[in-house]
Amino acid sequence: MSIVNIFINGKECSADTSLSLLDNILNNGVYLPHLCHNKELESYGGCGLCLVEVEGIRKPLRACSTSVSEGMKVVTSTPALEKSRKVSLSLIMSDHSGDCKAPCYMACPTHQDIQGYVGLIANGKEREAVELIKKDNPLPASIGRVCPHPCEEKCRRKHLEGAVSICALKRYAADSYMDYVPECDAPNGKSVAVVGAGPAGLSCAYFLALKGYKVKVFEAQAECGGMLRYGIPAYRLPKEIIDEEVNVIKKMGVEIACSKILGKDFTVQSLKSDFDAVFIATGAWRSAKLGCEGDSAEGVVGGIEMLYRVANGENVDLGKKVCVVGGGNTAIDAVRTAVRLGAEKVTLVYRRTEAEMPAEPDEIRDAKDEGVEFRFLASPIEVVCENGKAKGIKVQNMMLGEPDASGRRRPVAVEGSTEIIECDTVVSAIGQRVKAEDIDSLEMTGKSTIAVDEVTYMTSVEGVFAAGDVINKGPDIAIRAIAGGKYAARSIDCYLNGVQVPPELPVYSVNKNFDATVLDGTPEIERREIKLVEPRVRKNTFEEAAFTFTRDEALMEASRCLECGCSAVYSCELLPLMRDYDALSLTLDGKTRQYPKDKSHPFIVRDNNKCILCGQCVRACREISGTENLGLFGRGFPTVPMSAFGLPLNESRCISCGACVNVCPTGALVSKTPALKNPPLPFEDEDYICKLCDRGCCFVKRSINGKVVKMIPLKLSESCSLGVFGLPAVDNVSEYTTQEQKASIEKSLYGSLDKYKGNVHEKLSLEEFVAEIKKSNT
Amino acid sequence: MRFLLGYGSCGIASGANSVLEGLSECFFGTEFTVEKVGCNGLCFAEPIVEVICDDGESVLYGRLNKQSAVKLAESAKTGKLMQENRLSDDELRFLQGQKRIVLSGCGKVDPESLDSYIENGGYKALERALSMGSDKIIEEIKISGLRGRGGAGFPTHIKWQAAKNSQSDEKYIVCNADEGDPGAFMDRAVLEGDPHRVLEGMMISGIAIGAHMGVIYVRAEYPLAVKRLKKAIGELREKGLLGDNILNSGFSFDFNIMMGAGAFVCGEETALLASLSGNRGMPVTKPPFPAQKGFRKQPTNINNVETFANVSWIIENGGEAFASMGTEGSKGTKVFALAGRVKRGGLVEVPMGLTINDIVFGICGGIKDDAKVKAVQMGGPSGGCIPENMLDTVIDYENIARTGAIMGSGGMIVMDEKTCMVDMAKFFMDFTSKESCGKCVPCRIGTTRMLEILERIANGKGEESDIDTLVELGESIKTGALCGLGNSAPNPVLTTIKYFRNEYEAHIKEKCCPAKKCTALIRYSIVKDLCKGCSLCSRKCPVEAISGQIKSPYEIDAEKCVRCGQCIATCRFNAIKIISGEAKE
Repeated sequence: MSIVNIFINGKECSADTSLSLLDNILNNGVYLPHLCHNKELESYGGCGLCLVEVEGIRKPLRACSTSVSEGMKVVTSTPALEKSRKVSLSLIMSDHSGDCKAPCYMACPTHQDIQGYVGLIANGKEREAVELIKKDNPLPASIGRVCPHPCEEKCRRKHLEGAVSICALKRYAADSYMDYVPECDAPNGKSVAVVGAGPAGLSCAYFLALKGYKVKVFEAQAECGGMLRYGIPAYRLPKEIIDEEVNVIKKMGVEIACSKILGKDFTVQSLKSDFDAVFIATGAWRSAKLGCEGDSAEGVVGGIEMLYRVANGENVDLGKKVCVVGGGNTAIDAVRTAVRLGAEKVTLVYRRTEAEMPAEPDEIRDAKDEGVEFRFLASPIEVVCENGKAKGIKVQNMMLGEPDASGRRRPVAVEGSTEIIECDTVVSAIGQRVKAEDIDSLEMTGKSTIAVDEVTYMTSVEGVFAAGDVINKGPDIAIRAIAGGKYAARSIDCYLNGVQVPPELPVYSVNKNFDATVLDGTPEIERREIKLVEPRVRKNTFEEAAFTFTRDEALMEASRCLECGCSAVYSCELLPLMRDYDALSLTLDGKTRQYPKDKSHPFIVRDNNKCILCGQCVRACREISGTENLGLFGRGFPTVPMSAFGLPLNESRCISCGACVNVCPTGALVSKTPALKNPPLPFEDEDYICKLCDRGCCFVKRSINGKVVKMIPLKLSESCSLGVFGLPAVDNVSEYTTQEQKASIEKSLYGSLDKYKGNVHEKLSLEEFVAEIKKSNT
Repeated sequence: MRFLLGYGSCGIASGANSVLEGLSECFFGTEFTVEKVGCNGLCFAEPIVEVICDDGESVLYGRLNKQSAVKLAESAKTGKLMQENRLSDDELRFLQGQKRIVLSGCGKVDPESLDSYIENGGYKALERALSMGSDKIIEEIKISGLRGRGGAGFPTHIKWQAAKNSQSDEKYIVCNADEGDPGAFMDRAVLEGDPHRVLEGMMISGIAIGAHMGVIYVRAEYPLAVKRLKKAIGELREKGLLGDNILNSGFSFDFNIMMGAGAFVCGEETALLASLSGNRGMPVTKPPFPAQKGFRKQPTNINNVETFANVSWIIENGGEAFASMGTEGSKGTKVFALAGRVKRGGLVEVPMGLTINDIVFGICGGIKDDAKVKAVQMGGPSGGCIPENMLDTVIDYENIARTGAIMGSGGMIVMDEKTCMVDMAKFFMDFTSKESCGKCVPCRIGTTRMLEILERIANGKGEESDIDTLVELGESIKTGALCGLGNSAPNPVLTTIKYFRNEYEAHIKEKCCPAKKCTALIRYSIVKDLCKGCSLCSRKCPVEAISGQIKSPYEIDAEKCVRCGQCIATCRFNAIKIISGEAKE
């Protein structure tokens, strides 16, 4: 080793000739992207990201495999080099088939860490699950009862027996710890007024309170909850649940003033002068009219109005025969409410067929079980009246034609075929409208909703924000209102800290070419549905119609999670580079490699779909462990690293030294623990000296919720199977660990001891080992 | 009278064994014998027999079979050689204008006989080199201006000097005989036809750098070359020309042969060394160069077969003589393998400095069927396409590189107007993407993506942005790839876009393949006025796509048609035409 002077980007630096140019550049504090380099391994030159220009040499050089010499002049960044890096990263991304975040996360409007809380539930950590859920959702018990769960639509388990019952699991976790109150930041002295205590308003208030804002919520109704209280019948969402969740928000310091009406008790302007920012979430409270003759007659009511009156405890008499027009969830709520109000014949009239109904299939099923009749392919053309009062509805029979813009087949009238359905009440549940007259100081859209910026949620008036059903496209599901409140709070926080535009939401890699055959061989576990009260009982009462999972049910259901999201999402080296270089903007998509995951090893999961062929695992296996178990198989595009003879890792010559896992820059090789699930969660690292033998190897000990999940050796060559996997094993074996798993863990723990002979006590059984460590720790 | 039968793999494949049989049967009991020699490069006329009369006159017979061979033998016995099957004067122009150094023994010496090589002046250079010593040899190579014939054209003397300068008791000479370019076969011809020339070159190189072991990395697909090399090495050992203290000179040398397992990338020197060491054939970054750390981590000089085959001539005739041929930067001769739509295909060795036209039209007689030449692909899959209007380019390393192509190993594929440039680029990209070792990102994924885009274009699904994406990707791969394979893989695409962009645009915008090659963009149609209703095409069609009534015009069902072209080949009235692009209908 000798020291020379080199020039990095014009700055004179000293460099060590025994190290590569890349290491010297990094040691001098200059960042140079790289994905295939590890200073303990032979240089490789695969990723092509560390290209630099060296004076006097025509072509760019790979810094990782260039040695330094006195006076060398290096430039690490030029437009050409950056371009080349971007193309390389785009190419890597085009064959990196992985989901940074699980599809359920991506589908959820408020992006809850579903894999995280489902995994925690599976491991029996309900408390931690609730804490995690409440990072993104202030009303999980309510949402866990009413959400149409777009997350489950995208659940990969759908390709097998059925989606994981995510919504029911959230309800289970939330119900287990209703009293959990998140900790808020210290008060920051700023105040925000929130108009409307529905999901959007409560959400915004909650997230602002977390950030230390003083929040006052104004609610027009006598009680909180908005549409959750007044639009959703109690048999689906008991009012007490809303009250309990609102109480938590109050405990966080949010003040809520009910029966305060915008335009009457205060105005946007008055709020603006009293508070630092204003957030409006007044919702959409008016039902759309049927738009046919007689739609204003006595006996014709709006679905929302009807549900409101019932929720408000008013005496509602719908008569014996009720006809509800519409196919959405409000229409279903209306028919089922009508059944509970004692109507003898309840008919739902919908102009398309069941397949096109926007309502949830479960809800449709429950309504049918409760005796509701469905009249499909019928479009109301007249409310038939007698003495100004509705006595039936005349419908035009329809048939399905060509698909329309929404992709659903358009209903077409069957000429001359009409029918009259007799009824005492006609309920119009064909959509909600915003009552906007009180907020017209703000710029409105053509749909009479408040126009807000899609990113900042700011209205036309500076400092005034809005979200929920009242903005832009109008009414949507509750979780989207919660998302609106959450992201508006983020934007308000930025605004009040002098940042005009909140940072964009992080970009993640999505596996676009997912091939369900990689799931072949997954053990079958039936989806657990939430249990319902029998139809003949529940149809007569507004008591809650569904039961929360029992613990056994919940843990079993949660164990069905396929853990699609990448375990390496918080440590991945590719993800930040992909974002920095906007590598997804060049669309170089093409064929991708698709492989099943190898989960055979008790501590290592290999997912070759995410492999970027940096070759580090292969080199580590050869140079560090000396086993040469891993090698590259095939050539050209389909090249893939695998164990000799393609054996599953656990049956191969692998000595479980853990070097491969610790060099992988992506999630292609990740460590797991013997816990049932290993959800990727934010972790804590601490320095640690291994005491299992007298060699005293140095590690970074990585823990999640106090449990060791990974041991990262400071020097690859100075660690062994016991050091790398011992503590994760001790911390995570549980009553769920099977005998077979225990045997496999034992084998792996002592896998590389013969190679690294430290002064390790004789090979203990797993139980003895766990007992020993626990004893030495206390 | 001597009878030299071309008995390389190419000759054998075209029927040299029957010719041998015919001649031998007739010569049984006579003074005449048949000498088996290597390929003399006249591939277009194989199997070939060269008759050398007692007065030294040479008569070439081509396209022989057993019957004609018997006739030839009979005529020889009468003392009056037959006229049939003689190559015409026109055909013999193939040999005029050539200057043979590398190929000088091919077709002349018996490759399985050391004596034959020595009779033809072999191993004189070795003797001379032994007396010259290392520095003088390298100096002579430097004077000659010899550059690596494997493709990159790196000055040979610099490599030798570097390997000589590296301090080690153990050094190696490696001969790169992993000829992998589709359409290049000069190395095979030399190894099969004149193996001693290569061995002699390697030994001289050994003297120059101080190596005592030569390893020949030859592809397993060349079994005849391996057999003849083994025989040659065996004979050398027997005669004491190998081993310790050769000819009492104090110089020791021996050979080893390693057979490659058929990966194109192993022609790249660092991948070749990895393969030689029993590892996966994957290139590594340079430095260290093989001259510093090569085979068995020792200083190693790697040259290509053709480079070594030049060495003995240079040592014997002097570097000046070699340098007197060629251009400023490219000296000596170069062997080209002519293939494609050219009239006389084969191996051509010419001095540098001729134009491509000189070779294609002068030596090789122009294009088959006197069609119009469209372009010449030089340098195989790593090379590029040179369009018709640039065929007056003078052949040397720099000039060829300026066109976007490379000299490469010397493959020249001649194309006429019936070649679709997109299709051709696709062919080469398919080749390189499959041959990528999988190590570096730009090559492994980049070539695959380029191929996918080309396939899309050829299938009529191209988008206007595709051409720019191809250029962008191509340029990026050229800079970012780890080894020569990746660095040059985009060349065929980039040059065809450069010179034939309109063809790409026609595929993309008009969904038209101007050369009518891309099956997704063409359809077959029967011209009513010309069709006589003979039904021949309909009977030939393998998918029953053609129907009609006898004696009235037939019709092709475009849905059923698989565009195999059998109908066109069958029709006697030229009534079937290919249509591509709606505008041209």
